[in-house]
Amino acid sequence: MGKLLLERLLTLVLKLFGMAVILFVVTQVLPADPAAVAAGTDARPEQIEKIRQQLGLDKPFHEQFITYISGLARGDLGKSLLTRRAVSDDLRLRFPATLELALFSGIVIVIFGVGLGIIAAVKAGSPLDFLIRAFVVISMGIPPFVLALFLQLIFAKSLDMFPLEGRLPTRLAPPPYATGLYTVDSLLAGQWDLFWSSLRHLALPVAALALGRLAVGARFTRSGMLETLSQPFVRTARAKGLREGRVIIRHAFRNALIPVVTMLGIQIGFLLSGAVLVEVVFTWPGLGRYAVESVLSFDFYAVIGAALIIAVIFVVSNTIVDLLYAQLDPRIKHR
Amino acid sequence: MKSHFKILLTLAVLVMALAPASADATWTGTFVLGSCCEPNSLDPAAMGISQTEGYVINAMYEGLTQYSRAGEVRPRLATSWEISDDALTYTLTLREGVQFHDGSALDSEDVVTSLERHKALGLGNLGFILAPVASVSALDDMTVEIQLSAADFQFWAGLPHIKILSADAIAANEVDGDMAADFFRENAVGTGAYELARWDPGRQTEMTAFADYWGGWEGSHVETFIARYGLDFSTRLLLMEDGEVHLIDWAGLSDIRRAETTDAINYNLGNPLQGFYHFMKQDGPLADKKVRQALMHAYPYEAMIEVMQGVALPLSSPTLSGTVGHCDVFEPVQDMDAARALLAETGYADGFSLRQAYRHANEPRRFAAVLFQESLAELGIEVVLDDIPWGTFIDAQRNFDTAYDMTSHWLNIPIPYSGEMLFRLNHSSLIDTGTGNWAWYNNPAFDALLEEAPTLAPGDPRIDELLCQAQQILIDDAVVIPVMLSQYIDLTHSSVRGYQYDPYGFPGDLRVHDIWLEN
Repeated sequence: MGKLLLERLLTLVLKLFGMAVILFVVTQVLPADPAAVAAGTDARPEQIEKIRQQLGLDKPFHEQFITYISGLARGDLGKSLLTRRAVSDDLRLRFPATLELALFSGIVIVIFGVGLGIIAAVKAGSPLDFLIRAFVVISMGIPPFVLALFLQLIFAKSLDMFPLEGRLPTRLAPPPYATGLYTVDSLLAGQWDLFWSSLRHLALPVAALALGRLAVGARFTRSGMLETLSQPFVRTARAKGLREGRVIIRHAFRNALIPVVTMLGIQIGFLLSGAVLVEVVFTWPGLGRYAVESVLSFDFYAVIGAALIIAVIFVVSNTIVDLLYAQLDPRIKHR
Repeated sequence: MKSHFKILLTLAVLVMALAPASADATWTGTFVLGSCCEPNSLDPAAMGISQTEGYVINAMYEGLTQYSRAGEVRPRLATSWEISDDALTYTLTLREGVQFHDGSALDSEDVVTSLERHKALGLGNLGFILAPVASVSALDDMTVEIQLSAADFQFWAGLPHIKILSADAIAANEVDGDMAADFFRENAVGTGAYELARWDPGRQTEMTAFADYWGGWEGSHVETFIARYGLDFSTRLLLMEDGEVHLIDWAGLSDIRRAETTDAINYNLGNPLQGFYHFMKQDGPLADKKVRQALMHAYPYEAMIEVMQGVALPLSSPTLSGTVGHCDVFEPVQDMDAARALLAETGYADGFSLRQAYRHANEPRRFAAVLFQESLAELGIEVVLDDIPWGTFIDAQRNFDTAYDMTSHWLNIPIPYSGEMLFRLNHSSLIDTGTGNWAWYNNPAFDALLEEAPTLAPGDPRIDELLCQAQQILIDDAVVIPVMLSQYIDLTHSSVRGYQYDPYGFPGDLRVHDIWLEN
């Protein structure tokens, strides 16, 4: 496992470096003037020049490149042209919001997606299986932002069950920063009202984000389980008189887990990087919205910073999946 | 008994000390602005054109003077002033009893330090206002003298937008000679009615009533002002229907219809210092003045006003009414016969092709581009529309060869002075900067008028005369088409009282001190 981790770490560093170089070059050759965008549409030339100097954009390409890459080696992601803060500071503020959304969505996907998949497989061909499959097909067909708008109108506006948007009510201050996850930070601070409020604020965005992915999870689990349930070892287990629950969970489900875990690994990456529209609809100040705002305003360093974070997430989630494979299937561990 | 008396006395003193400055204040809750965009900085020296930035900075900071809603310069932190006959020396007397949010009292040193800092940093869009300032000195604790290197009317017109910061806070937070630029990016120490309580980047800025505000708190006011960011437009409207948001800025045309369907939302119209113009680069067929004049005749002025559904006004000049030096020099009427006749006099009667930059996502710019495209098609002129973002557009416009034949844009000016608009429209110094004069117009006579006008003393009637001549030249040369003044639309919740759009509060001043909420 140690060797695998070391390998992955080295690959990650190389991948990130390669990505940073490519992104830096691409963003520099784009026909656009980031200093002019940062200065605003009514800026005078002298203001644009001042900003260009302040941000070091007046220097030759190779100088900017060396400055950026050497900064990157020290963990400095540069300065946002738009917010004028260090990109790492911006990401520290924005990433936890997306992480919290993704974590809760992941929990929902695992519990309900996998759960529904198992039930559908066990009850294959029954009306319940039909209902679950219909739910899966419909859920997969609804784009998250459309679902988000429906959820807002029904559960926030009409039924007044959940807040319409945001991570907390306007008049409430966030808990003291520890992790940036409001649910965790409020618990750490012992602020139960904030904890409850942040949970309620998570409900609709999590539902919007998780439903489609949950359906994918259910579908993968169902097909994996159906295949495993027809295997001779399951028949053997039943013939030995084991309880049906034990047969399903300990024997069949464990063996069906490999494709399910693969799918979940990919989902986590998508949840973290693909929440843009949900973040926009629910005014969720996360990484996705930050990345979009940065792209639209040619905020190059912020774009590269956000892209690197997303790359790290994908590599880390894939590494976790690989490690889980080894736990789930000893044959993989020995190879 | 004696010790009980001491405790009671201490408690009484504490209660009195903690009580709001004005016992007559009626607090009416929290006023929430729902805005799309977050300020880049809270530093007045870095103030750009973002309205939200203006709303927040103008609530916490004040200038030496201020504009009335009629556009007259009025006292603010300065109570009186004298301007020398040669308009080079401005002597201002400061208001007594003004406190900053850090508890320090306003004096000349704060003004000297603030103006010098603003001039040195000047990262926002107001840097040009202090450009002519040669020196700022304190004559005594409450009197400041500002010396200009050359007379410049724009200095006086722009002074209300230059905010005064606490010199103590600048000194205390300066790092490596940065004039506390890092500190003031996310903190505020001004004299405004509201002081910064918290800025949660990506979420909101919260400001609370400053108890020691010199303007006092008599009457009804809001206790807290929150500017919320990143709100999607439909979400802002849903929140406003529930009374969670009280003001939405820069609403769209369709929102007026929505506001009309509910009692919870009112819409307001204002006339900002902002015109919408069509530029024609002097190249190819457009190098011929008669072709440009033909296109001016062909512009669908009336249709444009109509498509704006009552929230746009025609322009009778390249400048805006209500600004110093404005005069009517133009009748915005489409005349296709006159256009055909003029084209027939040129070698382009059979038509030609032009490239125009526009933004599809922006309703008025899209309407304008498509309507003009249709009009010109009737004359056999093909217009190829390119949807292009600002950063790419400005890069293309810096080079004559890549610059677009035509483009339509809004231009804002921070001061009610026509010369500033004319400068942005067509001064030759802006050629190849990408920031204005997209017609690539170079007329020394026009430039000379713009350069002479501001050197005259405020109130000199020759300012109007010179600027009027400049406007006439632009229309005669047909380099820019004044399309319309598209009105500013905002939405307010029905509980909001005391709010009125302020066209002179650059880049946006809600005058929150005047606002209160009624249940």
